[in-house]
Amino acid sequence: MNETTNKTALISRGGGLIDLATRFGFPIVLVLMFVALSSSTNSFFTLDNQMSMLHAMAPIVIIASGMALVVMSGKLDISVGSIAFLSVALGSLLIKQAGWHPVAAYTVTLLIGAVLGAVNGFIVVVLKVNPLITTLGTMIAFRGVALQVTNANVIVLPDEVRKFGNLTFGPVFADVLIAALVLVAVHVLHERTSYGRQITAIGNGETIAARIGLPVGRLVFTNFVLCGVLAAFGGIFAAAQVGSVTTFLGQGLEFTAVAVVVVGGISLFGGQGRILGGVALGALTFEMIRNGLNHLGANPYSYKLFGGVVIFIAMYADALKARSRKSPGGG
Amino acid sequence: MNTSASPELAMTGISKTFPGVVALDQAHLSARAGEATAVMGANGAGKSTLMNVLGGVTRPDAGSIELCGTRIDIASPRDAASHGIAFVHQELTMLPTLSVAENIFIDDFPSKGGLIDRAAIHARCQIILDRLGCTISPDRIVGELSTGDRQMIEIARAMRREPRVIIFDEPTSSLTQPEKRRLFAVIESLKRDGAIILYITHFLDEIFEICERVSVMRGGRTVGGGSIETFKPVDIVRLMLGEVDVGTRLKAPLDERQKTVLEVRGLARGTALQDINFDLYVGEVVGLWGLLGAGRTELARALVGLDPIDHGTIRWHDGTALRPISPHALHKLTGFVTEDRRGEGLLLPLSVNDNLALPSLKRFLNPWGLLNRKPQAALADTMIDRLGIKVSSREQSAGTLSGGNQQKVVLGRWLATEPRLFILDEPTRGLDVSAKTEILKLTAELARSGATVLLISSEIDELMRICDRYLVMVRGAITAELPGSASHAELMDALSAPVASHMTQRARA
Amino acid sequence: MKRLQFIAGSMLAATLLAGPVAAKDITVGLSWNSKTQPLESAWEDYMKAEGLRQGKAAGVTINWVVNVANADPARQTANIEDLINKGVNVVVARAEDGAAIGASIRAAKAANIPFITFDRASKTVKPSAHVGGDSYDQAVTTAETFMALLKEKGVTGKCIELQGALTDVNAINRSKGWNDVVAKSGGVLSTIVQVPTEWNPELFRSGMANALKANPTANCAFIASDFAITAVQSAMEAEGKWAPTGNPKHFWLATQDLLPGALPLMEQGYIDVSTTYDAFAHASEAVRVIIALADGKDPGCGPDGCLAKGRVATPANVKTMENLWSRTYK
Repeated sequence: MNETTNKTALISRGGGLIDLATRFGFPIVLVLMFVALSSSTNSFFTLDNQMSMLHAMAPIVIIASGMALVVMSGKLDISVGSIAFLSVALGSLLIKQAGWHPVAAYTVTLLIGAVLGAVNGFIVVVLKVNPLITTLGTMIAFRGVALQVTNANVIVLPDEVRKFGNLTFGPVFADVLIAALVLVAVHVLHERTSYGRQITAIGNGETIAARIGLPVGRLVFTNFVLCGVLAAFGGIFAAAQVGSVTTFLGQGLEFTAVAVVVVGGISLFGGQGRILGGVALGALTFEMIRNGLNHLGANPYSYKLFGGVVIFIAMYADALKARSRKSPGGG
Repeated sequence: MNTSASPELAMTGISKTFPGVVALDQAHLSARAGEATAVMGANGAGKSTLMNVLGGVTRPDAGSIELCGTRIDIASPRDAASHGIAFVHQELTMLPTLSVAENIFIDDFPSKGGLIDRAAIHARCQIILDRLGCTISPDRIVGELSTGDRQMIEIARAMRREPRVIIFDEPTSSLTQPEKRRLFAVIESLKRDGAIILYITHFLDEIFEICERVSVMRGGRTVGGGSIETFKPVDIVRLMLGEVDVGTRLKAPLDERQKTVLEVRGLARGTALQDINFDLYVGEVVGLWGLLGAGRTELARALVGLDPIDHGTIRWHDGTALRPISPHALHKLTGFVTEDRRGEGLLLPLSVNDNLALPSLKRFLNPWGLLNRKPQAALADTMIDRLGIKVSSREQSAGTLSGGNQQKVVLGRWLATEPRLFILDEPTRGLDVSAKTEILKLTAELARSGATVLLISSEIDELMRICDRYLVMVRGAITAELPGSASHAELMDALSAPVASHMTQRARA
Repeated sequence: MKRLQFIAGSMLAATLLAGPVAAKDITVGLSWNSKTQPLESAWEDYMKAEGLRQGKAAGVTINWVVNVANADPARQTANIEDLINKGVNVVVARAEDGAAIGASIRAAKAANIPFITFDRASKTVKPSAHVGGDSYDQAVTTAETFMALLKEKGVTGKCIELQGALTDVNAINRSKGWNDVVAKSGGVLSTIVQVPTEWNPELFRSGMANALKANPTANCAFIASDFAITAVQSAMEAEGKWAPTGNPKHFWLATQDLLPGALPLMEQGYIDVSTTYDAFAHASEAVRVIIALADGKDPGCGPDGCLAKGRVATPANVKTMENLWSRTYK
């Protein structure tokens, strides 16, 4: 009897340590990184540079918010980069070739994002294809269509769009404010609405959610549509920042978005994590690595190595957490 | 209690056919408010299907359901819920990363301005938990709770809509003793509030403890029922299992015991197995007799080390004397066959030839470590012949065989290693009548050739055709040993005797 | 009337019969991998114009048979097969796939038809000749002009170098050309930070922004291609460094290619020097090589092929520069 109590105590202590490490490990590393970069370069710790980091983060924060919703339901959408490219390219062509007003054109972009998300949702929910396979397919297909409609050309955006992409209020960029609004809205959607709680329930276990009587198919479908809209929205800002739509728009973005979500402690197993802190933390981690290495004058290709290591650690922490959840010590 | 009034819930003439199987045949069930009604039946009797009809999971082909005098139509779980029918499933449907309150309200959050009204769900959740006498905070994350607590939350979720009917599907199977006590207290209080309780279990003693009525099903039909006071445990067992035509024995019972092969003393594991003692002798077929959930499969698995054991010794006669042996070592010496042919390693895409040779491959290796195909093929041909496996050739893939022939391949695989002990756990489940007889004949033959067989079967007629002896299991313990000549009635009585004596003790106390 | 018809008919027949066998006629099979961009139209139009001009000078008539593969390597292989079967005198192809084009080169060789790869080189079989742009020279000429400009203005250039993808031979050549001149500039030019962009506009923007923040003393930049000039513009605007030449806040810019998006910025004085990615020069060189090969002569290419040099453009000469595809084709 004594022995068993000792054992459970040990397990829960071990679980506590892991829990502590996984919950606060990244923020600690982030703070250490911040301090190290601030003290080793003159230019890193300036208001200007901090603002420019947030500026660079804005599109990915918006796209990762949508990704977080999908991951929360235990699914994955790796077509977000291609959705961003295709929807923004079509919207931009409306401006360049049909002379539309940018606001109208980019409203259409959001609608296209919704339609492309619905395509993903349809394949996953109705045709019952694995989400990873589905979105791997649409990632390639959407990009192919986008290359076709743009002829792989650079679409130079009108000055007012580019100016808007880099508009500031005081030291703060407009798109940073918008990204923050989106992130908070998605966070509230997840934590405080029936929809958010129900997709989290699906992330806990799709069959359980179905047995409880939740409309699993409808929720998953809606989730993909939302993710598509946010991918298009983020894509607009990504294009506006650089003032043009090129074939690079959204390339590799799906992986950055997944990495941001995972580093933010949102479990790829679904149902676990908090969106506001998670996405902000994840995006900040990657931007700080990139920006910091830039300021250190390090070989910029080391960014890939650092990013890879961070993703690996985050995934490992997630797997550890999942294991400790399953162990009887949790009870 | 209003025993004189007409029943509040009446299901009549319910029939349901699945492709190839008649699951329900004019089944009926009635239950009263303020009472718990036990729904009993062996595996496949149709009680789950009947409950699924009531819960809206399955649509019946025919029949009607009346609740409080009104005929109702139940097309979906949502319909069932709207009629006040709640289902507490055996497998819990908890969402571990969400809070207790969220788990309870997940499919119907009260909201204010599009946002969940957290204060409201907290308060309403607290009321339900209080009613259940549950002290868990509504804000706790369910993943941190024990199984018993999770079941309380499951019940709390069922309670949310003030249900008139609550179906409990084997609620105690994974609970500890105190958790079970607490559950029973909750059921009592639900009864006091006037709910109709339907209670499904395999445990006879439980229904005598908390149920007022019983309804027994067999083969998709309702075969009996009424006030529990008019039933003795043995009556229920008889109704569940039915009178059977035993037919002729395949093998006369042995009249004298030979050498001991295996000796088990004080074997125990948690609540599943309690102080198990028995011996097995050379050349006998011993039937392990009990109801589902009595611990027969658990015992078989513990013997060969598939489940851990807490205490106990196993001794094995190695040819010279009885010596202690570990379950893992015993596993290597034992032919272990279950109903789960795939789980036991039958490789469906491979040929019958390869499947038969799998455990004895070492014998066919030549000095270079390569496989010698000729003796392997010879072995396969011998086995196919001896067991009467119906194949076009030994190269036919195992997946294309019928269930009976697949089971023969599994048996044949073990025969090739010539074990002295076989443990057969429901080896005939899912087979047709002639295949069953063939497997039983093979079993008898194994014993005649000097092997010892421990046979688990839920079908009493099967056991009665070949067993030399019976060990009776009830609730994880061996409660009696009967000779091979025991009658049908004696076997039935043996199952209910411990429950009956338990009840008389409680009556006296 | 009938007689007239007969004469006209026999004359027509005579021209048709005489056409293919006339020694002074060259039929060129031109295979585009795709023809959706302005650049490709510019190439073709310039080739036809130069064919007329250079053909007249050499006393030959050049006929063009053109087909387009719509970005499909298999289709291009079939298209070139058609050209060979038609018996064209020279094949010119812009490959969709630098490896798959090898099969077509081999087929042309078997039929004894000279094969010219245009713009994109073959990675497998060596063609009769390759015609493309000279990216090393492009960077060198820009850098030399830039150096002269800064020397004249009395400015010591501390430059940010935005590199392309370091897996791209053009990006490497441009970086090498730039830095070779910097090394010999005697301190007039220096590269204070190198930022690889992987040709990704977002990295052009953030790389430029970070480099400007990290190096407040920087006063000039060399940009490996101006296709993403709007990204650089955004970064510079955010730092208050975007001003035309003559303005005290002017930041000295040297770019490569002078693509349509960059042309107006040079005309307005934001970009100081660029060497064109010169569709006209490429086309002109291609026609020269065609005529030489059709005559059985050695076109005299360098080890990397016959590389056409770009033209150096500055705000002073850009408005009068002729045959500038960036202006005509948009």
